[in-house]
Amino acid sequence: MSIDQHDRFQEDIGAYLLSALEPAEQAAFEGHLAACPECRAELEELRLAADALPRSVEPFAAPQSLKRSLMETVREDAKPARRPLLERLFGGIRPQLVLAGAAALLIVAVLVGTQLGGGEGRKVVTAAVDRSRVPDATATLTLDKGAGQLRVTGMPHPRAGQVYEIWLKRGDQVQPGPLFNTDRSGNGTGAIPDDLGGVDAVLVTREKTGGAMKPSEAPIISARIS
Amino acid sequence: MQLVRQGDPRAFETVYDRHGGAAFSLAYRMVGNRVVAEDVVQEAFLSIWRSRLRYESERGSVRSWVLGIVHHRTIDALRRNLTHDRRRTSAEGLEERQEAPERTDVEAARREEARSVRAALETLPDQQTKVIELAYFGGFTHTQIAEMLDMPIGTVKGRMRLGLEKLRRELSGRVGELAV
Repeated sequence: MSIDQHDRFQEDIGAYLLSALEPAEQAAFEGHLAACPECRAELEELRLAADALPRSVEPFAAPQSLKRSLMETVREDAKPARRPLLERLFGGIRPQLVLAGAAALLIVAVLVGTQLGGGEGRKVVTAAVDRSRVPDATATLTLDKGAGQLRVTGMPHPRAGQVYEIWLKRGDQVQPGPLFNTDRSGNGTGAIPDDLGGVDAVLVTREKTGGAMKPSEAPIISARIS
Repeated sequence: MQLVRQGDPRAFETVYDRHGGAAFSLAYRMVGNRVVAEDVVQEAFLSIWRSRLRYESERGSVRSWVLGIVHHRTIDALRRNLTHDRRRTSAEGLEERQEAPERTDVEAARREEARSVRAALETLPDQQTKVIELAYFGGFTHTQIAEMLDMPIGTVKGRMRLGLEKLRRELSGRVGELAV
């Protein structure tokens, strides 16, 4: 990393803490941060100021209806599951048939997401996620004028030295794409500026900081776009 | 947070009681509309409930963690669903403003803390305060701010960084005035 590059990233620290970087810049900055103790130290210092900003807000009373509605959902979530969801939905049907049905539902969900999710010229694809590795994750891919934006929620922050990497799958070929990270609440965005013509699917894996040329694991997210 | 991590709704309710007001105030300050603020706060707290294992105490207080999540969710909502112009011109929020009553020592301390942070912000040069407020409370990216203020992107980023640095120094001199 050259001094110029380091200085450029260092200039981004304030914008990063204020959530004002563009998604692709944020991913690049987080990639740099993982390898730069000097920027991490300055970030932690300035975080004290950024964390104080919400405390400057004049307090307003939250409506009681908000708490009631929230706690109803929380208590419902906390009830012990009597039977697994698939069994509750498809009680009495053989497990193989249930799984086959679930697979079909997933395909339908992707198709419905593809056809109904977009506005004029836009297409939104709901991606499949590997629940065994990222149980709370959701992912959507928005396609617009040949570019794409992958938005994820509920993703764990990558371990130290790791980053999420996007892959573009064309037939049997898999081409490395942009890297991205997630914030403390598990949200992240990967911008795909390249022409997505001919791409069958957009995949995501966990790779070492800096990215890889070939995926090192099976995809944890897969968005089919053709 | 240990009980919340274990899925105890009563413990979660305590977290909401402690931080729900600040969360709502932040979202309301950003979107200027009670209904949208309620939606965002509900979504944020549900994500906290459902991803409670991810809180890492070494990365800061529960309050900062909660408000960070609410901030990100609100920015997502602003960039996804709302136009900034509509938000700015909405009179609904102003009509519905209802300040939290100062019923407890904690609320009085929060109000005093808010005054203290605002006083620290007021020591910054106007240009630095402006870019910080547009970014943090307005949800605008540095590119949008540069266009709005007709200034180079590098200048916007520089003012954000310098402004935060100055604010940090100001706040470090007011530690006793800030609630935990």
